[in-house]
Amino acid sequence: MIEVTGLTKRYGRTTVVNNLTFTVRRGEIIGFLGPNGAGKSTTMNMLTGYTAPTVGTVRINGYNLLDAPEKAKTAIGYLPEIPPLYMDMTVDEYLKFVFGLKNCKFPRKEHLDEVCEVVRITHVRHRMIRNLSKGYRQRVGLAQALINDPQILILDEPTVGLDPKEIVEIRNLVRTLGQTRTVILSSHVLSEIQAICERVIIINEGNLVADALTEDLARSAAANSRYIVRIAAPEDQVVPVLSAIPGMLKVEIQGVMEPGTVDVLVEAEKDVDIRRALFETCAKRGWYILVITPVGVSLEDIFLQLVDQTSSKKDDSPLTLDGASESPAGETEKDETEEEDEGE
Amino acid sequence: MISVFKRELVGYFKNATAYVIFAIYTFLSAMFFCRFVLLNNTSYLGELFGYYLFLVEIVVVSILAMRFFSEEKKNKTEQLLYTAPVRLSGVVIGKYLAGMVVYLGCTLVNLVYVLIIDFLGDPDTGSVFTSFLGTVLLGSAMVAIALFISSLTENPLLAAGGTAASFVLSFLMGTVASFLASWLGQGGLWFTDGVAGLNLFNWFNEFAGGIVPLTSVIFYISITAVFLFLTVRVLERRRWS
Repeated sequence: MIEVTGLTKRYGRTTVVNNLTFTVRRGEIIGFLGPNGAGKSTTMNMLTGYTAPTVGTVRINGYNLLDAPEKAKTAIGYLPEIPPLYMDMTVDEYLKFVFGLKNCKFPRKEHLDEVCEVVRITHVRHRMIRNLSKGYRQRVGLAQALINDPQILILDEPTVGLDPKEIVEIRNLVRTLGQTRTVILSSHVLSEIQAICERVIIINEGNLVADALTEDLARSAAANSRYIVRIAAPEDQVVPVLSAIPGMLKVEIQGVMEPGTVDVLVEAEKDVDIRRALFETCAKRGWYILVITPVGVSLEDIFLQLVDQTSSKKDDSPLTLDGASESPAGETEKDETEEEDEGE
Repeated sequence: MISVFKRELVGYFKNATAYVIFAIYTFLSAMFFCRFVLLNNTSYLGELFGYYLFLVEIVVVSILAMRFFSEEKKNKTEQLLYTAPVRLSGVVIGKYLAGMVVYLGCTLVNLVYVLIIDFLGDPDTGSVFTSFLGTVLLGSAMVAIALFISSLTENPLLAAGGTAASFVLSFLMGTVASFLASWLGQGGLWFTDGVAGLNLFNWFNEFAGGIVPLTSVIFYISITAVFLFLTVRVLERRRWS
Protein backbone atom coordinates (compact mmCIF):
# COMPACT_ATOMS: atom_id res chain seq x y z
CA MET A 1 0.00 0.00 0.00
CA ILE A 2 2.60 2.55 1.09
CA GLU A 3 6.24 1.75 0.59
CA VAL A 4 8.81 4.21 1.82
CA THR A 5 12.44 3.61 0.98
CA GLY A 6 15.40 5.61 2.15
CA LEU A 7 13.33 8.75 2.64
CA THR A 8 15.59 11.68 3.46
CA LYS A 9 14.94 15.38 3.61
CA ARG A 10 17.63 17.98 4.03
CA TYR A 11 17.16 21.70 4.30
CA GLY A 12 20.58 23.05 3.53
CA ARG A 13 22.86 21.28 5.97
CA THR A 14 20.19 20.24 8.42
CA THR A 15 18.86 16.77 7.94
CA VAL A 16 15.25 16.76 9.05
CA VAL A 17 14.37 13.23 8.05
CA ASN A 18 17.09 10.66 7.70
CA ASN A 19 16.80 7.47 5.69
CA LEU A 20 13.36 6.30 6.73
CA THR A 21 12.24 2.96 5.38
CA PHE A 22 8.96 1.33 6.23
CA THR A 23 5.94 -0.29 4.67
CA VAL A 24 2.33 0.17 5.55
CA ARG A 25 -0.07 -2.57 4.58
CA ARG A 26 -3.70 -2.25 3.66
CA GLY A 27 -6.03 -1.71 6.59
CA GLU A 28 -3.39 -0.89 9.18
CA ILE A 29 -3.68 1.95 11.64
CA ILE A 30 -0.23 3.26 12.24
CA GLY A 31 0.85 5.69 14.87
CA PHE A 32 3.62 7.98 13.89
CA LEU A 33 5.25 9.08 17.05
CA GLY A 34 8.00 11.45 17.97
CA PRO A 35 8.76 14.50 20.06
CA ASN A 36 8.05 17.88 18.55
CA GLY A 37 10.48 18.64 15.78
CA ALA A 38 11.33 15.00 15.17
CA GLY A 39 10.36 15.24 11.53
CA LYS A 40 6.83 13.86 11.72
CA SER A 41 5.18 16.60 9.72
CA THR A 42 7.97 16.68 7.17
CA THR A 43 7.61 12.95 6.64
CA MET A 44 3.88 13.29 6.23
CA ASN A 45 4.34 16.12 3.78
CA MET A 46 6.59 13.89 1.77
CA LEU A 47 4.15 10.99 1.91
CA THR A 48 1.44 13.19 0.48
CA GLY A 49 3.55 14.84 -2.17
CA TYR A 50 3.52 18.31 -0.66
CA THR A 51 7.28 18.40 -0.36
CA ALA A 52 9.65 16.31 -2.38
CA PRO A 53 12.24 14.16 -0.62
CA THR A 54 15.91 14.96 -1.08
CA VAL A 55 16.61 11.24 -1.46
CA GLY A 56 14.34 8.25 -1.42
CA THR A 57 11.05 7.17 -2.86
CA VAL A 58 7.46 6.92 -1.78
CA ARG A 59 5.23 4.47 -3.57
CA ILE A 60 1.50 4.54 -3.06
CA ASN A 61 -0.32 1.50 -4.37
CA GLY A 62 2.70 0.83 -6.51
CA TYR A 63 2.75 4.31 -8.05
CA ASN A 64 5.82 6.38 -7.43
CA LEU A 65 4.75 9.70 -5.99
CA LEU A 66 7.16 11.59 -8.21
CA ASP A 67 6.57 9.77 -11.47
CA ALA A 68 2.81 9.40 -11.30
CA PRO A 69 1.77 12.02 -8.75
CA GLU A 70 -1.86 12.23 -9.79
CA LYS A 71 -2.48 8.51 -9.59
CA ALA A 72 -0.68 8.25 -6.27
CA LYS A 73 -2.37 11.29 -4.73
CA THR A 74 -5.85 10.10 -5.66
CA ALA A 75 -5.48 7.33 -3.09
CA ILE A 76 -4.61 9.71 -0.25
CA GLY A 77 -6.68 11.90 1.98
CA TYR A 78 -4.50 14.29 3.95
CA LEU A 79 -5.28 16.36 6.99
CA PRO A 80 -2.26 18.56 7.67
CA GLU A 81 -1.44 19.86 11.12
CA ILE A 82 -3.29 23.09 10.39
CA PRO A 83 -6.41 22.16 8.46
CA PRO A 84 -6.23 23.82 5.03
CA LEU A 85 -9.47 25.78 5.22
CA TYR A 86 -10.59 28.85 3.36
CA MET A 87 -12.01 31.04 6.07
CA ASP A 88 -14.16 33.05 3.66
CA MET A 89 -16.19 30.05 2.53
CA THR A 90 -19.06 28.18 4.09
CA VAL A 91 -18.49 24.54 4.92
CA ASP A 92 -20.66 23.51 2.02
CA GLU A 93 -18.89 25.72 -0.50
CA TYR A 94 -15.55 24.50 0.74
CA LEU A 95 -16.46 20.85 0.43
CA LYS A 96 -17.83 21.42 -3.05
CA PHE A 97 -14.59 23.11 -3.98
CA VAL A 98 -12.54 20.18 -2.69
CA PHE A 99 -14.88 17.81 -4.48
CA GLY A 100 -14.13 19.58 -7.76
CA LEU A 101 -10.43 19.92 -6.98
CA LYS A 102 -10.06 16.20 -6.40
CA ASN A 103 -11.95 15.58 -9.61
CA CYS A 104 -14.26 13.28 -7.74
CA LYS A 105 -16.44 10.94 -9.78
CA PHE A 106 -19.11 10.11 -7.19
CA PRO A 107 -22.53 11.76 -7.39
CA ARG A 108 -21.80 15.03 -5.62
CA LYS A 109 -24.77 15.55 -3.35
CA GLU A 110 -24.87 12.00 -2.00
CA HIS A 111 -21.12 11.85 -1.48
CA LEU A 112 -20.92 15.14 0.40
CA ASP A 113 -23.97 14.25 2.48
CA GLU A 114 -22.33 11.02 3.42
CA VAL A 115 -19.00 12.60 4.32
CA CYS A 116 -20.70 15.26 6.45
CA GLU A 117 -22.71 12.57 8.18
CA VAL A 118 -19.58 10.58 9.01
CA VAL A 119 -17.75 13.49 10.62
CA ARG A 120 -21.00 14.94 11.97
CA ILE A 121 -20.92 18.40 10.52
CA THR A 122 -24.24 18.28 8.70
CA HIS A 123 -25.74 20.92 10.99
CA VAL A 124 -22.97 23.45 10.35
CA ARG A 125 -22.77 23.07 6.59
CA HIS A 126 -24.21 26.49 5.88
CA ARG A 127 -21.91 28.29 8.31
CA MET A 128 -18.79 30.23 7.49
CA ILE A 129 -15.67 28.30 8.35
CA ARG A 130 -14.19 31.34 10.05
CA ASN A 131 -16.98 31.22 12.63
CA LEU A 132 -16.51 27.58 13.54
CA SER A 133 -14.80 26.36 16.69
CA LYS A 134 -11.48 24.63 16.51
CA GLY A 135 -13.04 21.23 16.91
CA TYR A 136 -15.43 21.79 14.06
CA ARG A 137 -12.69 23.16 11.85
CA GLN A 138 -10.78 19.98 12.52
CA ARG A 139 -13.81 17.98 11.47
CA VAL A 140 -14.22 19.98 8.31
CA GLY A 141 -10.56 19.29 7.63
CA LEU A 142 -11.21 15.62 8.15
CA ALA A 143 -14.24 15.80 5.86
CA GLN A 144 -12.01 17.34 3.22
CA ALA A 145 -9.59 14.44 3.55
CA LEU A 146 -12.44 11.94 3.22
CA ILE A 147 -13.77 13.35 -0.02
CA ASN A 148 -13.23 11.00 -2.94
CA ASP A 149 -13.19 8.10 -0.48
CA PRO A 150 -9.40 7.62 -0.31
CA GLN A 151 -8.03 4.26 0.79
CA ILE A 152 -5.29 5.95 2.75
CA LEU A 153 -5.82 8.63 5.38
CA ILE A 154 -2.87 10.62 6.62
CA LEU A 155 -3.66 12.68 9.67
CA ASP A 156 -1.10 15.01 11.17
CA GLU A 157 -1.78 15.52 14.86
CA PRO A 158 -5.55 15.51 14.45
CA THR A 159 -6.32 16.15 18.11
CA VAL A 160 -3.93 18.98 18.92
CA GLY A 161 -5.60 21.92 20.59
CA LEU A 162 -8.98 20.29 21.04
CA ASP A 163 -10.84 20.00 24.30
CA PRO A 164 -11.02 16.57 25.96
CA LYS A 165 -14.50 15.84 24.69
CA GLU A 166 -13.56 16.67 21.13
CA ILE A 167 -10.42 14.60 21.43
CA VAL A 168 -12.43 11.55 22.39
CA GLU A 169 -14.83 12.14 19.52
CA ILE A 170 -12.11 12.58 16.93
CA ARG A 171 -10.36 9.48 18.23
CA ASN A 172 -13.48 7.41 17.95
CA LEU A 173 -13.99 8.77 14.49
CA VAL A 174 -10.49 7.82 13.46
CA ARG A 175 -11.00 4.36 14.87
CA THR A 176 -14.19 3.95 12.87
CA LEU A 177 -12.56 5.23 9.73
CA GLY A 178 -9.66 2.87 10.27
CA GLN A 179 -11.92 -0.14 9.98
CA THR A 180 -12.07 0.23 6.22
CA ARG A 181 -8.99 2.29 5.48
CA THR A 182 -5.31 2.52 6.03
CA VAL A 183 -4.61 5.28 8.50
CA ILE A 184 -1.36 6.96 9.41
CA LEU A 185 -1.73 9.17 12.41
CA SER A 186 0.97 11.32 13.86
CA SER A 187 1.05 12.46 17.41
CA HIS A 188 3.31 13.26 20.27
CA VAL A 189 0.64 12.07 22.66
CA LEU A 190 1.38 8.52 23.63
CA SER A 191 -1.89 7.51 25.18
CA GLU A 192 -3.57 8.49 21.96
CA ILE A 193 -1.42 6.20 19.86
CA GLN A 194 -1.82 3.46 22.42
CA ALA A 195 -5.57 3.82 22.25
CA ILE A 196 -5.97 3.83 18.49
CA CYS A 197 -3.06 2.30 16.69
CA GLU A 198 -2.02 -1.28 16.14
CA ARG A 199 1.47 -0.40 15.10
CA VAL A 200 3.82 2.39 16.10
CA ILE A 201 6.62 3.97 14.22
CA ILE A 202 8.75 6.11 16.47
CA ILE A 203 11.10 8.66 15.04
CA ASN A 204 13.48 10.97 16.77
CA GLU A 205 15.67 13.63 15.22
CA GLY A 206 14.66 12.33 11.84
CA ASN A 207 15.72 8.75 12.47
CA LEU A 208 13.58 5.66 12.76
CA VAL A 209 13.82 4.52 16.36
CA ALA A 210 11.25 1.77 16.51
CA ASP A 211 8.73 0.12 14.26
CA ALA A 212 6.68 -2.46 16.11
CA LEU A 213 3.21 -3.51 17.12
CA THR A 214 1.91 -1.43 19.99
CA GLU A 215 1.31 -4.52 22.13
CA ASP A 216 4.76 -5.93 21.55
CA LEU A 217 6.36 -2.68 22.48
CA ALA A 218 4.40 -2.44 25.68
CA ARG A 219 5.06 -6.07 26.56
CA SER A 220 8.76 -5.92 25.93
CA ALA A 221 9.11 -3.06 28.31
CA ALA A 222 6.89 -4.48 31.03
CA ALA A 223 9.78 -6.29 32.62
CA ASN A 224 9.38 -5.75 36.33
CA SER A 225 6.49 -4.76 38.47
CA ARG A 226 6.84 -1.41 40.11
CA TYR A 227 4.81 0.38 42.74
CA ILE A 228 4.93 3.58 44.60
CA VAL A 229 4.08 2.93 48.23
CA ARG A 230 3.30 5.46 50.92
CA ILE A 231 4.17 4.05 54.31
CA ALA A 232 3.88 5.57 57.77
CA ALA A 233 7.33 4.56 58.87
CA PRO A 234 10.63 6.11 59.97
CA GLU A 235 12.44 7.14 56.84
CA ASP A 236 15.82 5.71 57.76
CA GLN A 237 14.55 2.18 58.38
CA VAL A 238 12.41 1.77 55.30
CA VAL A 239 15.09 0.96 52.77
CA PRO A 240 16.96 -1.78 54.64
CA VAL A 241 13.78 -3.46 55.80
CA LEU A 242 12.02 -3.50 52.46
CA SER A 243 15.13 -4.48 50.57
CA ALA A 244 15.25 -7.66 52.62
CA ILE A 245 11.97 -8.92 51.17
CA PRO A 246 12.64 -11.83 48.82
CA GLY A 247 12.18 -10.90 45.17
CA MET A 248 12.70 -7.21 45.77
CA LEU A 249 15.06 -5.61 43.31
CA LYS A 250 15.11 -1.99 44.18
CA VAL A 251 13.84 0.30 46.90
CA GLU A 252 14.13 3.97 46.38
CA ILE A 253 12.90 6.81 48.57
CA GLN A 254 10.84 9.29 46.62
CA GLY A 255 10.38 11.86 49.35
CA VAL A 256 7.87 12.89 51.96
CA MET A 257 4.48 13.90 50.60
CA GLU A 258 2.54 13.64 53.83
CA PRO A 259 4.03 14.37 57.25
CA GLY A 260 4.99 11.25 59.12
CA THR A 261 5.06 9.09 56.03
CA VAL A 262 7.49 8.31 53.30
CA ASP A 263 6.96 7.53 49.62
CA VAL A 264 8.98 4.66 48.29
CA LEU A 265 9.38 3.27 44.83
CA VAL A 266 9.71 -0.50 44.93
CA GLU A 267 10.62 -2.67 42.02
CA ALA A 268 10.23 -6.42 42.17
CA GLU A 269 11.04 -9.33 39.92
CA LYS A 270 8.70 -10.00 37.07
CA ASP A 271 6.68 -12.91 38.46
CA VAL A 272 6.62 -11.98 42.13
CA ASP A 273 3.59 -10.31 43.58
CA ILE A 274 5.45 -8.16 46.00
CA ARG A 275 2.37 -6.55 47.49
CA ARG A 276 1.52 -9.36 49.90
CA ALA A 277 5.05 -9.67 51.23
CA LEU A 278 5.20 -5.92 51.50
CA PHE A 279 2.02 -5.84 53.52
CA GLU A 280 3.19 -8.57 55.89
CA THR A 281 6.56 -6.98 56.46
CA CYS A 282 5.05 -3.63 57.23
CA ALA A 283 2.33 -5.11 59.41
CA LYS A 284 4.90 -6.91 61.52
CA ARG A 285 6.63 -3.66 62.24
CA GLY A 286 3.42 -1.78 62.79
CA TRP A 287 3.85 0.44 59.75
CA TYR A 288 0.71 1.49 57.96
CA ILE A 289 0.59 1.25 54.22
CA LEU A 290 -1.50 4.19 53.13
CA VAL A 291 -1.25 4.04 49.37
CA ILE A 292 -0.02 1.56 46.81
CA THR A 293 0.09 2.87 43.27
CA PRO A 294 1.15 0.61 40.46
CA VAL A 295 3.57 2.32 38.11
CA GLY A 296 2.39 0.91 34.82
CA VAL A 297 4.84 0.67 32.03
CA SER A 298 3.25 2.66 29.30
CA LEU A 299 4.38 3.65 25.89
CA GLU A 300 5.50 6.76 27.65
CA ASP A 301 8.36 4.93 29.29
CA ILE A 302 9.36 3.07 26.19
CA PHE A 303 9.21 6.21 24.23
CA LEU A 304 11.35 8.14 26.65
CA GLN A 305 13.81 5.27 26.81
CA LEU A 306 14.10 5.04 23.07
CA VAL A 307 14.31 8.74 22.58
CA ASP A 308 16.88 9.09 25.34
CA GLN A 309 18.99 6.35 23.84
CA THR A 310 19.03 7.98 20.45
CA SER A 311 19.23 11.60 21.49
CA SER A 312 22.55 13.15 20.84
CA LYS A 313 22.26 15.02 24.09
CA LYS A 314 21.37 12.72 26.91
CA ASP A 315 19.21 14.06 29.61
CA ASP A 316 19.36 12.05 32.77
CA SER A 317 16.10 12.76 34.49
CA PRO A 318 15.04 9.47 36.02
CA LEU A 319 12.44 7.58 34.09
CA THR A 320 10.48 6.61 37.12
CA LEU A 321 9.61 10.13 38.08
CA ASP A 322 7.94 10.77 34.75
CA GLY A 323 5.95 7.58 35.00
CA ALA A 324 4.84 8.42 38.49
CA SER A 325 3.75 11.93 37.81
CA GLU A 326 1.68 10.76 34.86
CA SER A 327 -0.44 8.35 36.85
CA PRO A 328 -3.52 9.99 38.32
CA ALA A 329 -2.58 11.11 41.82
CA GLY A 330 -1.67 8.20 44.03
CA GLU A 331 -4.99 7.51 45.67
CA THR A 332 -5.74 4.10 44.19
CA GLU A 333 -5.35 1.23 46.48
CA LYS A 334 -6.55 -1.32 44.00
CA ASP A 335 -4.27 -2.86 41.48
CA GLU A 336 -5.68 -1.68 38.22
CA THR A 337 -3.78 -0.68 35.20
CA GLU A 338 -4.59 2.93 34.83
CA GLU A 339 -5.02 4.25 31.34
CA GLU A 340 -7.53 6.95 31.99
CA ASP A 341 -5.54 9.98 31.06
CA GLU A 342 -7.54 11.19 28.09
CA GLY A 343 -6.04 14.65 28.46
CA GLU A 344 -3.30 16.09 26.33
CA MET B 1 -8.29 24.00 -12.81
CA ILE B 2 -11.93 24.96 -13.10
CA SER B 3 -12.54 24.55 -9.39
CA VAL B 4 -9.50 26.67 -8.56
CA PHE B 5 -10.71 29.30 -11.01
CA LYS B 6 -14.18 29.35 -9.50
CA ARG B 7 -12.91 29.49 -5.95
CA GLU B 8 -10.53 32.33 -6.73
CA LEU B 9 -13.14 34.34 -8.53
CA VAL B 10 -15.73 33.89 -5.80
CA GLY B 11 -13.00 34.73 -3.29
CA TYR B 12 -12.33 38.08 -4.96
CA PHE B 13 -15.94 39.06 -4.50
CA LYS B 14 -16.35 37.56 -1.05
CA ASN B 15 -13.61 39.48 0.64
CA ALA B 16 -14.33 42.64 -1.32
CA THR B 17 -11.03 42.71 -3.19
CA ALA B 18 -12.91 42.83 -6.48
CA TYR B 19 -15.04 45.76 -5.33
CA VAL B 20 -12.04 47.69 -4.10
CA ILE B 21 -10.30 47.09 -7.40
CA PHE B 22 -13.35 48.15 -9.40
CA ALA B 23 -13.73 51.25 -7.29
CA ILE B 24 -10.10 52.26 -7.66
CA TYR B 25 -10.15 51.58 -11.37
CA THR B 26 -13.33 53.54 -11.92
CA PHE B 27 -12.19 56.47 -9.82
CA LEU B 28 -8.77 56.85 -11.40
CA SER B 29 -9.81 56.16 -14.96
CA ALA B 30 -12.77 58.56 -14.68
CA MET B 31 -10.45 61.22 -13.35
CA PHE B 32 -8.07 60.78 -16.26
CA PHE B 33 -10.96 60.65 -18.69
CA CYS B 34 -12.39 63.95 -17.44
CA ARG B 35 -9.04 65.69 -17.31
CA PHE B 36 -7.40 64.49 -20.51
CA VAL B 37 -10.35 63.77 -22.78
CA LEU B 38 -13.34 65.84 -21.78
CA LEU B 39 -11.47 68.95 -20.64
CA ASN B 40 -9.11 68.72 -23.61
CA ASN B 41 -12.16 68.81 -25.81
CA THR B 42 -11.04 65.83 -27.86
CA SER B 43 -12.70 62.64 -29.00
CA TYR B 44 -9.37 60.84 -29.27
CA LEU B 45 -9.21 58.04 -26.71
CA GLY B 46 -5.85 56.70 -27.81
CA GLU B 47 -3.93 58.78 -25.32
CA LEU B 48 -6.15 57.68 -22.47
CA PHE B 49 -5.71 54.01 -23.29
CA GLY B 50 -2.13 54.28 -24.42
CA TYR B 51 -0.73 56.31 -21.55
CA TYR B 52 -2.86 57.36 -18.60
CA LEU B 53 -4.64 54.08 -18.05
CA PHE B 54 -1.28 52.36 -17.62
CA LEU B 55 -1.04 53.86 -14.17
CA VAL B 56 -4.47 52.54 -13.26
CA GLU B 57 -3.60 49.12 -14.59
CA ILE B 58 -0.40 49.02 -12.57
CA VAL B 59 -2.32 49.82 -9.40
CA VAL B 60 -5.03 47.28 -10.10
CA VAL B 61 -2.74 44.40 -11.01
CA SER B 62 -0.54 45.11 -8.00
CA ILE B 63 -3.56 44.73 -5.76
CA LEU B 64 -4.37 41.48 -7.50
CA ALA B 65 -0.84 40.28 -6.76
CA MET B 66 -1.54 40.56 -3.03
CA ARG B 67 -3.99 37.74 -3.15
CA PHE B 68 -2.65 35.21 -5.60
CA PHE B 69 -0.46 33.06 -3.42
CA SER B 70 0.27 34.83 -0.17
CA GLU B 71 -3.22 34.17 1.16
CA GLU B 72 -2.83 30.47 0.46
CA LYS B 73 0.47 30.39 2.26
CA LYS B 74 -0.84 32.28 5.23
CA ASN B 75 -3.83 29.98 5.69
CA LYS B 76 -1.83 26.88 4.81
CA THR B 77 -4.41 26.07 2.17
CA GLU B 78 -1.64 25.55 -0.34
CA GLN B 79 -1.17 22.15 1.24
CA LEU B 80 -4.60 21.22 0.00
CA LEU B 81 -3.87 22.43 -3.52
CA TYR B 82 -0.53 20.72 -3.84
CA THR B 83 -1.57 17.40 -2.35
CA ALA B 84 -4.71 17.15 -4.45
CA PRO B 85 -4.45 15.05 -7.58
CA VAL B 86 -4.15 18.07 -9.86
CA ARG B 87 -1.25 19.49 -11.79
CA LEU B 88 0.43 22.62 -10.52
CA SER B 89 -0.11 24.18 -13.93
CA GLY B 90 -3.85 23.73 -13.42
CA VAL B 91 -3.66 25.65 -10.15
CA VAL B 92 -1.61 28.44 -11.73
CA ILE B 93 -3.83 28.77 -14.78
CA GLY B 94 -6.93 28.75 -12.62
CA LYS B 95 -5.57 31.63 -10.60
CA TYR B 96 -4.44 33.47 -13.71
CA LEU B 97 -7.87 33.18 -15.32
CA ALA B 98 -9.62 34.42 -12.20
CA GLY B 99 -7.28 37.41 -12.08
CA MET B 100 -7.95 38.05 -15.75
CA VAL B 101 -11.70 38.06 -15.23
CA VAL B 102 -11.39 40.74 -12.54
CA TYR B 103 -9.08 42.72 -14.79
CA LEU B 104 -11.47 42.41 -17.74
CA GLY B 105 -14.30 43.52 -15.48
CA CYS B 106 -12.30 46.66 -14.81
CA THR B 107 -11.64 47.43 -18.44
CA LEU B 108 -15.35 47.23 -19.14
CA VAL B 109 -15.63 50.51 -17.24
CA ASN B 110 -13.97 52.10 -20.24
CA LEU B 111 -17.02 51.30 -22.33
CA VAL B 112 -18.80 54.05 -20.46
CA TYR B 113 -16.24 56.57 -21.70
CA VAL B 114 -16.64 55.32 -25.23
CA LEU B 115 -20.40 55.78 -24.96
CA ILE B 116 -19.98 59.29 -23.58
CA ILE B 117 -17.67 60.25 -26.43
CA ASP B 118 -20.02 58.59 -28.88
CA PHE B 119 -22.80 60.77 -27.51
CA LEU B 120 -20.78 63.99 -27.55
CA GLY B 121 -18.70 63.51 -30.64
CA ASP B 122 -17.39 61.00 -33.07
CA PRO B 123 -14.78 58.55 -31.74
CA ASP B 124 -12.67 56.43 -34.04
CA THR B 125 -14.40 53.07 -33.52
CA GLY B 126 -11.53 51.14 -35.05
CA SER B 127 -8.91 52.48 -32.69
CA VAL B 128 -11.24 52.09 -29.74
CA PHE B 129 -11.61 48.43 -30.63
CA THR B 130 -7.88 47.84 -31.05
CA SER B 131 -7.20 49.73 -27.82
CA PHE B 132 -9.52 47.36 -25.99
CA LEU B 133 -7.78 44.39 -27.52
CA GLY B 134 -4.40 45.84 -26.57
CA THR B 135 -5.55 46.51 -23.03
CA VAL B 136 -6.62 42.91 -22.66
CA LEU B 137 -3.33 41.58 -24.01
CA LEU B 138 -1.26 43.96 -21.92
CA GLY B 139 -3.34 42.98 -18.90
CA SER B 140 -2.72 39.32 -19.59
CA ALA B 141 1.03 39.86 -19.54
CA MET B 142 0.78 42.02 -16.41
CA VAL B 143 -1.35 39.48 -14.54
CA ALA B 144 1.08 36.71 -15.42
CA ILE B 145 4.00 38.77 -14.14
CA ALA B 146 2.09 39.61 -10.96
CA LEU B 147 1.33 35.94 -10.45
CA PHE B 148 5.00 35.13 -10.79
CA ILE B 149 6.11 37.80 -8.34
CA SER B 150 3.49 36.78 -5.83
CA SER B 151 4.66 33.18 -6.01
CA LEU B 152 8.07 34.37 -4.82
CA THR B 153 6.96 35.83 -1.53
CA GLU B 154 4.61 35.09 1.34
CA ASN B 155 4.13 38.70 2.20
CA PRO B 156 1.18 40.27 0.38
CA LEU B 157 2.59 43.78 0.67
CA LEU B 158 5.88 42.68 -0.76
CA ALA B 159 4.05 40.98 -3.61
CA ALA B 160 2.10 44.14 -4.39
CA GLY B 161 5.11 46.41 -3.97
CA GLY B 162 7.34 44.16 -6.03
CA THR B 163 4.78 43.98 -8.80
CA ALA B 164 4.25 47.71 -8.89
CA ALA B 165 7.99 48.36 -8.76
CA SER B 166 8.73 46.01 -11.61
CA PHE B 167 6.05 47.62 -13.78
CA VAL B 168 7.33 51.09 -13.02
CA LEU B 169 10.85 49.93 -13.75
CA SER B 170 9.68 48.44 -17.01
CA PHE B 171 7.92 51.69 -17.84
CA LEU B 172 11.09 53.68 -17.18
CA MET B 173 13.00 51.54 -19.65
CA GLY B 174 11.73 53.82 -22.41
CA THR B 175 13.45 56.81 -20.78
CA VAL B 176 16.57 54.79 -20.12
CA ALA B 177 16.62 53.75 -23.76
CA SER B 178 16.37 57.29 -25.07
CA PHE B 179 19.10 58.37 -22.68
CA LEU B 180 21.30 55.53 -23.89
CA ALA B 181 20.51 56.39 -27.49
CA SER B 182 21.87 59.89 -27.12
CA TRP B 183 24.93 58.46 -25.48
CA LEU B 184 25.69 55.47 -27.67
CA GLY B 185 24.57 57.02 -30.93
CA GLN B 186 23.62 55.10 -34.03
CA GLY B 187 26.01 52.23 -33.37
CA GLY B 188 24.25 51.13 -30.22
CA LEU B 189 20.84 50.99 -31.78
CA TRP B 190 20.45 47.25 -31.31
CA PHE B 191 21.13 47.73 -27.62
CA THR B 192 18.86 50.69 -27.06
CA ASP B 193 16.10 48.96 -28.99
CA GLY B 194 16.53 45.98 -26.74
CA VAL B 195 16.28 48.15 -23.64
CA ALA B 196 13.23 49.92 -25.02
CA GLY B 197 11.69 46.51 -25.70
CA LEU B 198 11.78 45.82 -21.96
CA ASN B 199 9.13 48.48 -21.61
CA LEU B 200 6.01 46.38 -21.48
CA PHE B 201 3.87 49.39 -22.27
CA ASN B 202 5.84 50.43 -25.31
CA TRP B 203 4.36 47.52 -27.22
CA PHE B 204 0.93 49.02 -26.77
CA ASN B 205 1.46 52.17 -28.86
CA GLU B 206 0.24 50.85 -32.14
CA PHE B 207 -2.94 49.44 -30.63
CA ALA B 208 -3.86 52.98 -29.60
CA GLY B 209 -3.33 54.09 -33.17
CA GLY B 210 -5.90 51.63 -34.51
CA ILE B 211 -3.55 48.88 -35.62
CA VAL B 212 -3.26 45.30 -34.42
CA PRO B 213 0.50 44.75 -34.62
CA LEU B 214 1.27 41.07 -34.85
CA THR B 215 4.63 41.45 -33.08
CA SER B 216 2.97 43.03 -30.05
CA VAL B 217 0.27 40.37 -29.93
CA ILE B 218 2.92 37.68 -30.01
CA PHE B 219 5.03 39.57 -27.48
CA TYR B 220 2.23 39.84 -24.92
CA ILE B 221 1.15 36.26 -25.40
CA SER B 222 4.72 35.04 -25.03
CA ILE B 223 5.25 37.09 -21.89
CA THR B 224 2.09 35.58 -20.44
CA ALA B 225 3.17 32.06 -21.30
CA VAL B 226 6.71 32.53 -20.04
CA PHE B 227 5.65 33.95 -16.68
CA LEU B 228 2.95 31.35 -16.14
CA PHE B 229 5.56 28.72 -16.84
CA LEU B 230 8.04 30.37 -14.47
CA THR B 231 5.38 30.49 -11.76
CA VAL B 232 4.83 26.75 -12.08
CA ARG B 233 8.58 26.25 -11.87
CA VAL B 234 8.88 28.39 -8.74
CA LEU B 235 6.16 26.40 -7.01
CA GLU B 236 7.66 23.17 -8.22
CA ARG B 237 11.07 24.18 -6.96
CA ARG B 238 9.75 25.10 -3.56
CA ARG B 239 8.75 21.48 -3.04
CA TRP B 240 12.34 20.45 -3.53
CA SER B 241 14.12 23.06 -1.48
